[in-house]
Order: sequence, then structure tokens, then C-alpha cells
Amino acid sequence: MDAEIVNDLHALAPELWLVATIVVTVVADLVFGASRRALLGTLALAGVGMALWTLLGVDSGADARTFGMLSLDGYAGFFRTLIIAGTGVIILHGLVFRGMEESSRNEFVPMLLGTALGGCLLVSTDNLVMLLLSMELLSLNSYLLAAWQRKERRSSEAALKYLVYGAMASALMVFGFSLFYGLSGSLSMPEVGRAIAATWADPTAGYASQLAVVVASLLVLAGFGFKIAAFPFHFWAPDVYEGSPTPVTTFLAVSSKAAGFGVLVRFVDSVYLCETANADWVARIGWILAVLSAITMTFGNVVAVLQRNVKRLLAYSSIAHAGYLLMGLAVMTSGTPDGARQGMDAVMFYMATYYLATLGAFGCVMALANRFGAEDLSDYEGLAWSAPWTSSLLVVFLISLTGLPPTVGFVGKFWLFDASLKAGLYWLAIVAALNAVVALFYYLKLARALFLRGETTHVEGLKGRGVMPWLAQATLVLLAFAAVWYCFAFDGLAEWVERSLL
Amino acid sequence: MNLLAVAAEPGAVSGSLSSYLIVSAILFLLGLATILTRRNVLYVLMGTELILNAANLNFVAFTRFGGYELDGQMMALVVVMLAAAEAAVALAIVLRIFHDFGSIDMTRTDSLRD
Repeated sequence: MDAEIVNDLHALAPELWLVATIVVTVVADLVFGASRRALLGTLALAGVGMALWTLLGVDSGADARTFGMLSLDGYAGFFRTLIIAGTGVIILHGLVFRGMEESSRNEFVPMLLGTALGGCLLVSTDNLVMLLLSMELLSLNSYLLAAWQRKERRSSEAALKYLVYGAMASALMVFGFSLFYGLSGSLSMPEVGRAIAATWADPTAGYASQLAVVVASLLVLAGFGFKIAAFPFHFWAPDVYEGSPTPVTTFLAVSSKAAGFGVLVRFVDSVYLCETANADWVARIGWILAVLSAITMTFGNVVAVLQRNVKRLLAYSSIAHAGYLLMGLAVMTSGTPDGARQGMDAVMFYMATYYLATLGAFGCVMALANRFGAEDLSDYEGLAWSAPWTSSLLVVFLISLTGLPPTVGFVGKFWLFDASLKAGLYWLAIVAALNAVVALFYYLKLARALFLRGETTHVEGLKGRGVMPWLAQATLVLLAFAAVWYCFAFDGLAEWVERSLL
Repeated sequence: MNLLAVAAEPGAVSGSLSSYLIVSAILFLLGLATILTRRNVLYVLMGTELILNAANLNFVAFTRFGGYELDGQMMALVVVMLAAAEAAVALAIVLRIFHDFGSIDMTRTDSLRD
């Protein structure tokens, strides 16, 4: 076989393992039926483990371009690691989630692996065709996963809302791509970037072309904004997060958002910040991103204060975190000489901290729902007396999401604020700091409900299946440990991020 | 050479590109209006299909008149395929909604709200 193809396939090994695991789990489900949940879970986790192992084994320093459309560099490696590892944890959660019927539980695993495959390809691509295909692979699977609780009306409603907003966002994005294609004659992101820079620098290009660039950029940003649940495109998020089965909510808040930011950062970097980029144009994009960031975080935090349902509260908190992450993108496009690097550094580091904490927080929420059927803030009152361990872990994750020491969330926030101050975005840093105070209020409200409210008597747990097995509990402990550990040993994480920059 | 600038000039060589772009812009606006005004799920999905087809018309017209390589036409085929896949998923979900709510009017499906 051609040596080049072998190399390409070698770089793609994690994705190939995911595909193989999808096939194996589908076949195993057909052969063994619904009764063999443990076997299916073992197979799926083994496949995910192999994908992760090959991913970490591949030299991430190499800039492997694969089949002309994927760029499997260190940057892609960073996000692929997050997505695949997160998928492993979510599969564990899915296997024990009480609200799911046995018959649909096994099909849940290959669907989730499909989203992981889409996410991995999405963060690796710098071609608009591949971007669209992988984003749809991610989205179409997500729509169906949102409807996975067959007996719940609100689950199908969540799927409907996600589907309608998602279809609209991707249609707008495709129209934006068509305008980019008209301007540049190419579907590769760097080519599009050069064409945009040339259009903006050329005084004879005319009003129509500049208008087309602006319209196309807004349409494409709408598509990305939907995926990351940023302000004017966030409407779906609270309803879908609340209505979906909890493992799916975790996936939407964690993997889907990481994939969205992974592709958005690469898009901004190669389309708007190419080497010939026009400062005036970059400043405009930077201004849009900074305003979106400020509105998104303020909206998310303020509305989260009013929530009674814990999943909904965390949904608004996840919108707020999209705002913080957009801050890093505003730094990237702020026009300061080192801004692109610092902004990307801050986004990726913050994404890693958000990933740890959100994965853990939703895991705890699911554990509490499994044992006590608790999902509203009022159900949480005094729950710490019956489930001290899970409640304590949840508080650790909430502290990390707030951004207080001694958790890694503090380092992430610090990094982000530092980057935005260095880029001269003082107003944005002040807005973010005020937001952190609001966030503290509702995160502590949740912690107070658990520990300080209600009777200090034990609540009787639900009987039967759905109790978290030791493996799923161990991942929660591990995540909490990582959240604290990386506050002190953040060098290792920072170095990984540094190595993975574009 | 900037294609959109050429298209904007009357009587330019590729002047007929602008007529394609106008049709596609009209399709886009019709699709957007459908999405924003209709409350029936199927109409909303049809609106998104109109936008996708507007994009497809753009892709094909740009490839033809710009003398570009066939990337645009390939993209148009990919979009057609994606639209079909999306319709399959969408109809499955719409059936579920009809089963659960007895209606596919989006104003009726509001059990989740602040």
C-alpha cells in the first residue's frame, strides 16, 4: 500500500477505533440483546480506551495533514483527547442512568460514539465541506439522543426544539459558506481567509463584496453560536438541557461545546487572523466577539439565579461559561501583537477546567437523581445528610465552576482575566469579574440547599437498579481530585495547552 | 478579480451570475420568512430546506461563472445528501411529537419553560 495512505490512516487511528467500536457495539446489541448491558459497556469502554491510547501515542508535534481535509495537529489532539475521554465517562453514566429504558440503553452507546466521531473530525478539519459534514454528524446524533427517554414527553419536546434551532443554524451557516466560496473560489479555510483579507485591503473591491463578507461572517458565526450556545442563539439550551436524559445533557454541555469551541477557534484563527489579515477588519470581528461575550455571560448568570430546576440552572451556567470562553476569542482578535496566542491559550486552558468541572457536576446531579429522584432545588434541601459523598463532590465542582481556589477553575479564570487585561480589554475583564460574583451567588445557593437547609434527617433512597456502580463513582472522585490537583500543579496542564496551540 | 464586484456591474461579462444570485437571495429570504412566521414544525423545516437550496444555487452558480474548480458542485451534492439525512431524523422526531402532544404546532409544545 502507498506509504502516504498508511501514514494518513495511522494519524486517524483514534477515529478508526471509534468507528470499529460503533460497529462492534451495534452487532453485539443485535446478537446478545438487551440483557447483556455489562458486556456492551465493557466493549464500548475498551474501544474508547484504545482510541485514547492511540491518540496519546501519536506524536502530536507532527503536523499531519490527512486526505487533504483534516489537519491532525497538536491542537486537534488536545480537543480530541477531551472529547474521547469525556465520551468514555458519559458512556459509564448512560449505562447506569435510571430514566432510560433497558431496550434503548444499548443503542445509546453507538449513538454517543457517533457524536464523538463527529466531534473529533470537527476539531481537526480546516475545510468547509468536512466542517459541515462532521458538524452534521455531531448534530443529527445529538437530536436523536435528546429524545432518548421514550416515555418522557419533555424528552421529545427537547429533541424538537434542538432540531428546529439546529436545522436553522446549519442552514444559515451553509448559506454563509456559499458566499465565502463565491469570494474565494475555495472551500479551504486559509484560502477563504486570504480572499477576505484581499477584499478588505482592495479599495476597488466595492461595497457589495465587503457587505458579502460581513453577511457571510455573521451567518457563519450564527452557526457556531448555536453549537456553543452563545447569546442570541442560546434559546434552545435551557429547554434541551432540562428535557434531555441527564447523560445527554452532560454530553451537550461538555463534548458538544468543546467541539464547537475547537472548530470556532480554528476558524477564527485561519479565516480572520491569516498572515495578510487586515487590522481594520480584525478589529470589527474582535468588537463583535467581545460584545457577544459580555452579553452571553451576563445573560447566563443573571437568569441562572432565578432557576429552580438544577439541570436548567446548570444550563444557564453553561451559557455563561460560553461567554467566558468567548472572552478568549475576543482577546485573539483584539489586534495586540501577542493576542492571538494568549487568547487561544486562555480559551484552551479554560476549556479544560470547564470540562473537568462540568463533567463532574452533571455526574453528581445524575447520581443524586438516580438515588433520590431529585432534580429540583427543593428536592436538594438537606440531601447532604443522606448522600454526604456525592454532595461534597458536587460542591467541589461548583467551586471550580465559580472560579474560587483551591480548584482549577480559579487558575482558568485567572488566565482568562490576565489575557484580557494584557490585550487592553479592561471593560470586558470588569464585566467578567462582576459576573463571577453573580455566579458565586447561585452556585452557593445550590451548595446551601444541600448542606444547610431542610431537616438534618436521612432521606430514603429509591430502591432497585440505578445505583451508581463503583466505576462511575470512581470517575467522579477522580474528576474532583483532578479539579483540586491541577490548581496547584497547573504547570502540567498549561504545558500541554502550550504545546497544542495552533 | 472579485466576482461579486463583477456581478454587481451592469453588462459585465458574467452578468448573468447576478440573476442567479438574485434568485438565491429571494429563496433565502422566503426561507427565513417561513421559519420566522410559521408555527407548524413541517413548515419550519421546509423553510430551512429553502435556505439550503439557496446556498446550493449559489455554490453551483459560483462554480459555473467563476471558472472555479468543482469544489462548489461537490459541496452542493453534499448539502443535498445532508438535507435528506436531516429530513429523516426530523420526521422521526416530529412523529414522536405528534404521538406525545397530539399536534405538531410549536406553540403547543411548551411544557419546558422558565
